[in-house]
This record gives sequence, C-alpha cells and structure tokens, in this order.
Amino acid sequence: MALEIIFFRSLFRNDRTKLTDREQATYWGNKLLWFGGIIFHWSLLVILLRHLRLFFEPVPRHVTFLQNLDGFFQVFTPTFFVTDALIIIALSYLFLRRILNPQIRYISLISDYFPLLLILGIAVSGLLMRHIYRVDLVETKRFALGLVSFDPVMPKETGVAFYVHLFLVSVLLAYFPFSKLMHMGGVFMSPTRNLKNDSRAKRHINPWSYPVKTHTYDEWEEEFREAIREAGLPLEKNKEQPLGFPASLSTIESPEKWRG
Amino acid sequence: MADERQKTSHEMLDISLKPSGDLLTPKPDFRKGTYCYSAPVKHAAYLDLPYVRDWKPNEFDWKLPDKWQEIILDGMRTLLKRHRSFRLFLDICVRCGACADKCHFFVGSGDPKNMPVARAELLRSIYRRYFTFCGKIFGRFAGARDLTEDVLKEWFYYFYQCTECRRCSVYCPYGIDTCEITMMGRELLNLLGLNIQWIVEPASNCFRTGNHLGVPPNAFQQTFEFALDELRELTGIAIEAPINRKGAEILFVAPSADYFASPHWFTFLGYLMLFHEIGLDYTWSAFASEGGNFGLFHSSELAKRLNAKIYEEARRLKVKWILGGECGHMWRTIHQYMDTFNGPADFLEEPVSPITCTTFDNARSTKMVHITEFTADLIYHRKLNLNKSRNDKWKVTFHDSCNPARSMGLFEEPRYIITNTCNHFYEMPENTIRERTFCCGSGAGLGADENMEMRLRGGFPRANAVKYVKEKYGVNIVACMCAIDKASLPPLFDYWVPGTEVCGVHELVGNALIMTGEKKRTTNLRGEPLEAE
Repeated sequence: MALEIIFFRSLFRNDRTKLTDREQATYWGNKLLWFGGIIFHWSLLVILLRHLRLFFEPVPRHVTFLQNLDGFFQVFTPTFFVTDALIIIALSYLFLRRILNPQIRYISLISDYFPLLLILGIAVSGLLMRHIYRVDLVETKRFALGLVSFDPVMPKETGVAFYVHLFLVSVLLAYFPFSKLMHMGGVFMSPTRNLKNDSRAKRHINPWSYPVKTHTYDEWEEEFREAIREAGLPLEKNKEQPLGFPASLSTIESPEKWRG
Repeated sequence: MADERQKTSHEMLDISLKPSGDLLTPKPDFRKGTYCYSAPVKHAAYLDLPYVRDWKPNEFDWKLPDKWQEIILDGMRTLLKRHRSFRLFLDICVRCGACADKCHFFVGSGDPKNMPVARAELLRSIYRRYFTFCGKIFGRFAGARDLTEDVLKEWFYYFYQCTECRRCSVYCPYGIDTCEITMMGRELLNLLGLNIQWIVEPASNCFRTGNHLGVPPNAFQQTFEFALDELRELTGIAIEAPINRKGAEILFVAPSADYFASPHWFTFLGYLMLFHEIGLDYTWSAFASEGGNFGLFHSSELAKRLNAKIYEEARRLKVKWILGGECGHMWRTIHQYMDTFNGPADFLEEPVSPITCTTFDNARSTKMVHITEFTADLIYHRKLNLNKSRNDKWKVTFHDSCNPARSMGLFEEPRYIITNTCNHFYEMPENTIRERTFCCGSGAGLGADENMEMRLRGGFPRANAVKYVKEKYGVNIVACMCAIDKASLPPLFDYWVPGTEVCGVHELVGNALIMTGEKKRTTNLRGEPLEAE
C-alpha cells in the first residue's frame, strides 16, 4: 500500500501491447505514464508544501529547507524552482497524451481535460507572478495570514496575476470534491489495495447477508432416490421400501457439449 | 446476417488497436458469433429468477417489464449501499488509460468498448447521470448519459464480453477491479431477467442434481467404474473410489467436467491414482459433485445458493476437512466467498495433511485446501515416488488460470509439481504469466459455441504466447488447472497454434507416479505408448 501511494507501483509495471506485422502480440515496458504521473504528483506536493511559508509566521524550518533544496540550482533571481519546471513539463505530457494517443483520446472526457488545464493554469499564473509580473510577497503573505486567521485584510498592489492565480485555486478547491480528483482520498480506501487476501484463513462477515433458498440434501435424496439406490450408494431415509416413481432422468442434458 | 464461414486468422487480426469514435454513444451490434444466447425459460423458472420470458438478444424487442428503468436504478442504489468497492470504483477512476490495452478482448477484437475503463464507463455514465451532483447538472459534459434501451443492450453485450479475469486490475493504480464492475453489471441485468444460456442452464442443473452437467447419482457412480476399469488396465491395481461415505477424514470436491469431459478425464484419473497411492481416507460426494459455481457469473445470491451444498455435505458426512480439485472460478468462490456465504465451518477441523502432518493454516477458517497445495506438500516431503521420464513426450508450459493465479496467488505450487513430474518445462514470456496471465477467453460463463468468434478473439493473446514458446522451444502441451481452460483451450489452440495439447497438472502427476505393486506401464494416461523406461 505504501509502495503504491509513494511510488505508484502498479503503474510502474505498465506495458504496452502491440500487434506486429507477423501477427505476434508484443508487450513493451512502458514507464512513460508512470514517469509523468510520479513527477507531476511529487512536484505538486513539494509546491504545496512550499506554499506553507505564506501561511505560517515564522516559517517552519522544514519548509525553508525544502525550499532551499528545490531551489538548489540558484539560477535567476528570485530563485527558480526545479519543481515548477517539472510540473509544467509533466502536465503538458499528460495533456498531450490524452490528445495524441488514440486509446486515451477515446476514453477521455471533458472532466479529464479540465483539471489538467486548470492545474496548468495555476502553475503558469504562479510562475508569471513570481518571475514576470512580480507580486509583492509581503502583501501576499499578509493576505494569506489574514485568510487562515479568519481576519481577512485586503492586499495592496498585488497585481492581476495574483488574482488569476487565486481565482483558479478557488475553482480547483470548489471542483475537487465533485470530481475524479477524489482519487486522492479514494486510493486509501480501495479494498483491493488495503485489505489482505486472507479470506481462507480468516472469516469475514457480510453485514447485509440474508438467507437464500437452497436445494438441501434431503430434497436431493428424495428426488433421486431410485438412482442412488441403483448406484448402490447409501441412503439416509427409506432405505428399504421401493418407491412408486422412478427417478426422472428425462431432463438430463447431454454432456457432449462440454467435451473439447 | 454475417457470413457463416469461419474467419481465417488473418481476417481475424485485421483489427486496429487505435480506436476512433465516442465513448458515450451506445452502439450494440449483435453480430453472430460475438454474443451468447439468452437463458432458456425452463431453467430460469427452475431457479425462480425474475421476469422469466422467451427473448433473444439479437431481436429488437427485449420484452422488458414496464418501469424497467426504475428497477435498474433501485438496484443500483442497493448495490452502491452494499458494496463500498462499487461506489469507490465508480468515483475514483481518472481514465489514465493504463488498463486500456490489457484486456484480452480488446487486444483480440480492437473494439474500444472492450477497454476495461470503457467497460466500467458503461455503468459510470449512468451512475453520474442519476447519482452525482455534477452529472445531474452538466449531463454529457460531465460524462453522464440517460439510461435508454440502447444503453441496456450495450450493457448486455459488453458485460457478457468480460471474463472477469481481473488482468486489468493488476495494472490499475487504484486497484479498480473490472471483474467487480462486471459482476455488478450482471446483477443489474439479472433484475430484468437478462441472462445467458451458458450460465443459467448449468446453474439450474447444479441446483437440482448437484453438478453443472446434470449428472444424476447413478451416472455419477458409473463414470467412476469406467475410470477404475481404465486404471486397472493401465496399472494392474484395483483402485477404489468411495462415494458418499460417512466418517471419512476428507471430502474431495472437483469440477464435474473432470469426470465427464476430455482432457479433464486424465486429471480425474490422476486424482484417483494419487489418493490410492498415499492411502488417503477420503470420499467423493454425489450430492456435492461440483466444485465449480456458475452462480458466481450470475449473482452473489445464486453463487451462495449453489455453494451451500459443499458445507452441508461435509457436515452430513462428518468429515474433518475438504480438499478441492483443479478449477478456476470454483476457487474464486471458495477462496473469496465460501466462508462468508455459508460459514462458519466450525463443525470441521483445521486442515492437516494426514500424510505429512503439515497444517494448512492458510485455510484455517474455510477448511478447504487446494489440491496443488496438498500435492506440492507431498512432493516436498518426498512422499511420492515419481518417474519424470514418463512425461518425456511432453514439452510443457504452464498457463496460470486467472482465478487461482490472481485471486489466490497460487503461482509456485503448480510449477513445483510440474518441475517435479516433467523433465521439459518452459515458461511463456513474463508479461503473460503469473499475475499478468492472459485468460483463455471463455471464462465467466462465455464458453458457449455460439460465441466462438469472440472466444477465439479473447483467447488470442494467450494462444499467441503459446505460439511463441512452441516456435522457440517446441512446446507441445499446455498444463493448466481450470476446467474451463481444459474445455476451451483445445479449440483455441486448434485455431491459432495447431498441434498443441492441453492437460491438467494432476494428469502429469498420474503419469509420473510410481505406484506400489503396479505393472510395467506401456502407455500414458491417454493410452499413448511410452518410450522404454
């Protein structure tokens, strides 16, 4: 389960089926989806954690540490974060494969494209306000702190990029609980992932179980009494008296169709 | 009507795995060879199924009851309440496409609706439309659609085109199990009496006589006499096979095809020889004469009704525990459901092998052990004398049958038995075995002859992997441990890889087993001459 959530184990063993000209089915290892998926999700997590610095005063040490690690290359001022680039590349890949791969295009719905574009929009607007339309960080933080302390203050001169960013984040938060994005919580609840396959060793109770109509041994013996006697098999009841009716064998289906 | 001639393999593979079209538009096309006949009135009535009537899938009018939409939606509401998995699987799919090319029916047919994700979308689109906020408001934009008769027909077509093999679930990052989706789809279809002959007829036979083939007790006993005669000729030993014997230590339950069909028959002989040689205190039952459970392909209720007889018979015969034969979905039922359905089996004892004193604590609660677990344990403790060279005719590969592999994780035991009974064993490519094994294409009640084209298409990936080892190593027999495999693989291989035989694991055991006091064997179980020992 941990492997599944941290490293996307099932996706890692993904392969791609192809039919060759020689009518041979081949299975190529296909780690691209796994790679795109894991880069996207981890970048997103790191970026979210980095944003914590806007909500805490003083900034927690591990957030600062993460930020330094992420800005390891220290190119540009302000520092350019690796995850920013990674998430945009990963999102673009995930979006393009939905358009370019015919199998994925077939199964994609609007609700698949929408969140990808939404998160892409959030990432791009975030980058814009960090590097191009610079936003006053102190004002932004004042606003963010105001929000979490339920004492909102209007920020001064933060610029359009910030409002775009904020609006898209709000849309995402509103959209989240009604959409496929709930896979975030759902993956923890998946019974094929969080239950042990131990149903022969341990008894599991079905809360809605109800009694069903069965064909009991007594009914079976009653119906096939003559046949059982003919086969010389032991009977439970009426072992001696002959019966008035023969076992009906007329409806027995031919087993021929079962033969290979 | 499509032309009646069997398609050649080239025509069959004239398909593209690059689909076009639209996921939400229903397009059921009941082409001959790709769907199964409807359930016969007589058998559906015997089982007290709802809305019994005479109808045909390829006809326009399905004679649905009034208010059929309400029935389906009510049913869906109940299932959502009962199965946490169902609601979850409907909610969390992100359509990443990892499963898309994993289904043998998609690989073999190129029909995009056979991609597992698309199969689940059949239900998901209706779930969204009637049970979610977004779907109710945004409709098609949210991937929702109305429940129309065409959608229902599409359900029938594609939920009876899934063998519940669960290969896709291995690849799903959320573990979404399309088998459960199909099960739910079939539960809903059943509410309107929409089921197929190849499921309802065996289920009704099984309910009445105790086995799918409808074999009555006297015929059951006769087939044992044939088998014992055959074995006397082969080994010179008079073997006994007790039936309905009270007080035996172990009740043995096998799928009924084992004692009636071919090549299952040779596996049946293998069981009998093995039990005689180790002096097992056991009994067969003419009442619980079927391990398989076609009810499972119908509904959980019918599965429970059919399964009940195994514990009932174990209680009546006062055995200590139960041993089960080589079968696929039988083991899914026993492993996953039996204890919950009809337990607790507190009148039985924890299974202990009387020969090796091994405790099978993996079956502590169900008290039912798989024959390969039992035999592998015997071989491990060197309780069997085996002569591998009697299987030298065969170059063997092992086909992991879906259910024992993916439901039970039974990978090593059969391989251990095969490598101890045969000299020539070769594995198929790793993407097609073990938990990634491909289905035979006829499981989950789809083995009907009228469905042959779809069976051949579904079995293509499996046959293709066999062809690969046949060309590379000269493999000439495929061992498996599922009664449906044994019935469906021979025609499949005849079509795609001619000259490949199919056998059960215990046929190989029967061949290799050196029995105390046996005469020199000149033939194998199939009556084919052995090379000099």
